[in-house]
Amino acid sequence: MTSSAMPPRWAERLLRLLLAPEDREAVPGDLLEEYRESVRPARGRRVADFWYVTQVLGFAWHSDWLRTHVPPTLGEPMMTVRRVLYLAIAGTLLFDLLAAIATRASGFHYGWRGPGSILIYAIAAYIAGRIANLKSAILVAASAAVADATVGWAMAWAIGPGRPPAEFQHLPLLVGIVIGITLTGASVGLVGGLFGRLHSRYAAG
Amino acid sequence: MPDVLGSFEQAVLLAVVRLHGEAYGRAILKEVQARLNRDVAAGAVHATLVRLEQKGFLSSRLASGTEVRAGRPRRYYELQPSGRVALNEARAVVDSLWRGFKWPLRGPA
Repeated sequence: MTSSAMPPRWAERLLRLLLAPEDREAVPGDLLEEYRESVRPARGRRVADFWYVTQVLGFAWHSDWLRTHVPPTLGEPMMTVRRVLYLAIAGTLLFDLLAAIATRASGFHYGWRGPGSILIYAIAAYIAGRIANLKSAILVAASAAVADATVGWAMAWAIGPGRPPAEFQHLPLLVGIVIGITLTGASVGLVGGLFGRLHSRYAAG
Repeated sequence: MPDVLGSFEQAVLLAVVRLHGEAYGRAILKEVQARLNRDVAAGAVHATLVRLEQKGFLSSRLASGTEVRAGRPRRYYELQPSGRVALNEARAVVDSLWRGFKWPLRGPA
C-alpha cells in the first residue's frame, strides 16, 4: 500500500512551482522515495503528509525565486527584510494549514483564523518598518496576504474548511476576494509599519 | 585567494565523494544528515547542490527512475576537479587555523 502512497497533491504542485524546470521531476522523485520508503512506513500517513509539507516549505525558504523577485528597493538592511518576508509568508501558510486541520479535526471555527492572520501581517510589518522603511512594511504584509489568499486558501480548500459554497465559486468573485485580502494586508502593513517607524525613531532618540 | 567553502558545502561535497557513483538527491541528504548528526531540510541540500554545480564543483546527469519514485528520474552528482581543489583548500585553511593548538582545547571557558 505504501509503495503507491502519494503525498498531498497540492504540496507536490507547489514544490514543482518552486523548482527550476530541469529539477521538476528528479527532486519530487527524491521526496516521494523518502516519503514512501522511510517516513510513511515509520510514522503513518498524517505525520508523513506533514513531513512532506514541511519539506516543501523548506524548498520555499531556499528558493531562488523569492531571492530574485524581492525588489531591490525594499531598503537596508536588505537581508533582514527578506528574512522577515520569508518568515511572514511561512508563518501565514503554516497558520492556515493548522487552522484548516484543526477545523476538520475538531470544532474549531475556520473563520476565527482571520484575526490570527492579521496579527501575523501586523507583526511582520512592524518589524520591517522598524528595521527598514514604511514601503518595506507594506510590501511584506501585502506579500503575506497574497500568499494567504492564494496558496493558504488553496490548502484550506483542499483540506475542506476553506471551500466556499457552490454559488460563490466564480472566478471573478474569487479574484475579488484575493484582491480584497491583499488590500487588507497592505492596510495592516501601513499601520504596523507606522508603529515600527515611530518606535524606531523613538528608540533612536 | 578564492572564497573558502562553508562547512555545509563541504558536507555536501564530501557526501558526493563518499557515495561514489550513487550520489543522488535522497542518498546525499541521508549521508549529510548522518554525518552532521542532525535533521537537514531537503531544500537546503538541493540549494547547495545547485550552487556547487553552478560554481563548477559538481556535474550531474539524469538516470531513469524506479517504481517507488513513480518513474521519476534520479539526478546523480559527480565531483569535478575544481571541487576537489576547493575541498583541499578548505581543509588546508582549517589545518592552518588549528596549527599550534592541541585538540580538544582545554582550560577555563
